[in-house]
Amino acid sequence: MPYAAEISRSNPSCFVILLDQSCSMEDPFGQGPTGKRKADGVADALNRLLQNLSIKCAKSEGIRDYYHVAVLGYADRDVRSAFSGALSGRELLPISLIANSPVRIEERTKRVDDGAGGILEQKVKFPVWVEAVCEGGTPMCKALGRARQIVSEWLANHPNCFPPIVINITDGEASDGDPEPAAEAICKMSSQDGNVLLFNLHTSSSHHPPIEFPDESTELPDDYARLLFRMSSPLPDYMWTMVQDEGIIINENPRGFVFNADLVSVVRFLNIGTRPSNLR
Amino acid sequence: MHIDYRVFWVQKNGCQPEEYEDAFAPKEPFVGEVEQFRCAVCDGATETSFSGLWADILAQAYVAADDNLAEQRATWTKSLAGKELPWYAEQKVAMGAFAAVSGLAIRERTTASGVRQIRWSTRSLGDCCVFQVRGKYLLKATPLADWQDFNNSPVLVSSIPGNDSELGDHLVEMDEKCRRGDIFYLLSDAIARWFLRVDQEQDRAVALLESVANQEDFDCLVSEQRSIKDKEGMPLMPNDDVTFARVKVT
Repeated sequence: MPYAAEISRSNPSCFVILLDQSCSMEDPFGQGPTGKRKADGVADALNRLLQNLSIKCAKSEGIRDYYHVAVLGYADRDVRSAFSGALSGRELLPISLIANSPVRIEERTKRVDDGAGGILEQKVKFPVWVEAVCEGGTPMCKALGRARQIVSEWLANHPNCFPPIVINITDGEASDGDPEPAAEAICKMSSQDGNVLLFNLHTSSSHHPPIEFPDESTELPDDYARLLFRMSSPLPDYMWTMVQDEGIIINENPRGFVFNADLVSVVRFLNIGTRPSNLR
Repeated sequence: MHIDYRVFWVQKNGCQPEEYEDAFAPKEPFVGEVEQFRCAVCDGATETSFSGLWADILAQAYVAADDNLAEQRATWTKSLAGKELPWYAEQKVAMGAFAAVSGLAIRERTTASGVRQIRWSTRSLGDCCVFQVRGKYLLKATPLADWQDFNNSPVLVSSIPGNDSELGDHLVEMDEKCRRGDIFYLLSDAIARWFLRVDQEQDRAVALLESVANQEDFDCLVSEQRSIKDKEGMPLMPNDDVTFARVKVT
């Protein structure tokens, strides 16, 4: 049965996150109440993801390296690690090293239920690893190529692992060619437990509602959306329940793809896409 | 009544013994005459931290007939107070630890009509199980009786308040007669699931557990059963902490 390998310190898995940092990420999200810049919203969502993964792997004695994670930013003809501070320039890293090396820990305010029908404001620690960046073009082909290299090296050393997951977050078309062959090359790689998964998250400044986990491309508005759909892996069975638990209605054979994502769908998508949970 | 109580355990494959997060009480084997005997097996959830500590507190509390959950939670919180924790450990502790618990009480008493009678009762939350075995056969199973009913999201007891109303709805209790010669198994989830499956498909689960005379036998059994794969390629006994407490009543 694919996608059932246990994830342990001796058999860890990996995530590679590709983040479009081109100048169009400066624009605000089209949907949602905040009017936040896409670059800021996505950086917050990624920092929250790294925080959640760190907490998930935290045990009484410290952090267990169930996952290794790379966050690569692509902009202006270049692909580079999106980590700042002590991790700057480093790509695939064990989660323990990431957890122990944020650039800073901010104090943010969170609204919580006070248990009596009201809302309380609570101070929470918010570690930051990835800063918002927006500059130049969208070298997506190069980014997918680098992800393929990282995953290929990983699979050579971890042939029985839970399949690596690559998540590409973008708001625009590739400026360095057709990304489909590079995406296909990623999806063709596999561990003993199944094919590598490539999910695409298209963030948007448009006012159209998001299209989440579509099962066919005919409902998508243009060629670009259909291209990203084709570049996205079918969701494995174990993720179906997670998607449905989030209240999203899906048909059979959904793809790991969201078009026109607002901030809520960005957070939800990252949460679903990084939740293989057979931890040991 | 005469009680013979022994416990065997193995941590997850790939983990150290100190990373074992099941718990049981009493800690020591017991062989002797008593009118009442209590024991418990608990399973701390892997995805939470300090869950072994929480499981241990719950097991000890059951044996002490202490059902004050608020006090047990306070004990867990006090045990961690003053520890210097990094940000992620601090945030994980704030989310609480979770554990499943099953406790067994066996008591002998004289009825109004002057007859000596032994009864057994259980209290369970989650998927640690108690099985009553007579001769070669499984007689009663609680709270789960079918291996296919085990899943990845059992109801668990939290070390911080939050899901208490749900707990009441899921508490499973049983009170039954016991005969001298009956054997009780208290098993954490992975071995309980394995036991029910092997009992159903091969009818030899009791024989396999009765062949365990010491920890070495148990280590061999667990290692062997973890290595056997079913038709879907999944291990017959999932790789998890396993605890087997056996109580013989004569």
